[in-house]
Amino acid sequence: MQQISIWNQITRLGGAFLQNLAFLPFVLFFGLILGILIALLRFHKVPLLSQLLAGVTEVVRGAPFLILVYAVYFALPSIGIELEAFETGIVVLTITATAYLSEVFRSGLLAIDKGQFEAAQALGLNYWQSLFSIVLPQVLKICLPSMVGQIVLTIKDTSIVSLVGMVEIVRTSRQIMQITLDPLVAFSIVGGYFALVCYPLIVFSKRLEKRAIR
Amino acid sequence: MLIDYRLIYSSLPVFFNAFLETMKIALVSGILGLMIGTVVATLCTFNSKVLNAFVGFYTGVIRSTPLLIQLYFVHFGLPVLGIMFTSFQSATIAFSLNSGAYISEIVRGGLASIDNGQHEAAKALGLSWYQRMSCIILPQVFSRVLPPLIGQFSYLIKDTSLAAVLVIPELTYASRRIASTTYRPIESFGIPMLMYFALYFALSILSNSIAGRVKRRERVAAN
Repeated sequence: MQQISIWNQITRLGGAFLQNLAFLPFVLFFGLILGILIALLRFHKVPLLSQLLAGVTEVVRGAPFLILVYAVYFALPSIGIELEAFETGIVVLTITATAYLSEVFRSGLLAIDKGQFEAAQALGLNYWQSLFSIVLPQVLKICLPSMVGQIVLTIKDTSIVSLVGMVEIVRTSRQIMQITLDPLVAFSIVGGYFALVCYPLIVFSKRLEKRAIR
Repeated sequence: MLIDYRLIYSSLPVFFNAFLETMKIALVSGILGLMIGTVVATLCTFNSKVLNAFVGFYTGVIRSTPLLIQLYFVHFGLPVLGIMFTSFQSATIAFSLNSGAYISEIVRGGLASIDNGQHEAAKALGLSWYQRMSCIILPQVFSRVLPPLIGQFSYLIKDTSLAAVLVIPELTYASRRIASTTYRPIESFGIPMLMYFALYFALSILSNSIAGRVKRRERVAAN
């Protein structure tokens, strides 16, 4: 048994937490684009594709995050795709975020009056113009609280990627535990780091929701 | 052939037992979580500053930290203070505390949606606080929030997969073990994913049909 000072633990875990946050840009970028794309395909009821995407979305939403991580990390090599832990994390986090976001955007699209599309087209805008300058800004505004909620879920889910060997904050805390045999401090610091990022986001999302109701 | 049907057939009993284990963890944690959530939500109705601060702290901590670290905290952290649990106990404690926080938010919303006249009418009839809550208010709350509660339960089922970390033989652990002994990961992860999906799908159909019925009933009541 060895001692690691609390300050030392805080800095080490803080450095490791950056690894967790490193997922975010990738996941948000791909999740947003793919989510909007899938929502549009399903909103316009593109034949075959929309049914297929609906099925895949449901399967992803029904599966636990951990088993998706295991499946991508352990099963994909058997069809010739080998991913490292960080890449596995990006893939699975993006898949789950896309599945949820596409549902969010789809309900946002349904919430917007169909007349908006028609009015924009009556003004002589083509489909893409009316989509990007009239419809999507309104959809994104409606969906903002759920998007912030999804960011919180994604940040929390990054901890699970530690289970396939990704060295991030939770794995680092377990390494510290094996040295000091006193995990309470390390786990509390880990919880503190997550709360530091997630709690303001949760409050922000709630405030946005309240404003939307008014 | 890509899929080995004999392997599927021979591993089905293991997966079935694992499925029962998953259901056991989910049901125990779900019932405990429902109790915790109801009590916590009821604490908020007293409008006491101390109680509200406690509830805010509890739900805030649970909602803003990952379940995995909560599980580690209960299973590896608390023994430092001399509190030991078996894997199953740790898992159910962590899961019920976790789902309790989310359920309390759902029940709190339900409590807020009950018309104040119900409280006053029950009070005028001379019912005690406990009678008012248990016979008048909470039954109405639960019939209204049943769909989101079912949704929360289906999240809980998915969350129980983390019990695999504590070597509890539930679905995710079984899939991992069978994958590493048979070297057939597609079948080993495919079967449990189908089982999880069946549960999720059944619950979402149930939740939708109940939501539809609740809405119809309230429309009838409003007229």
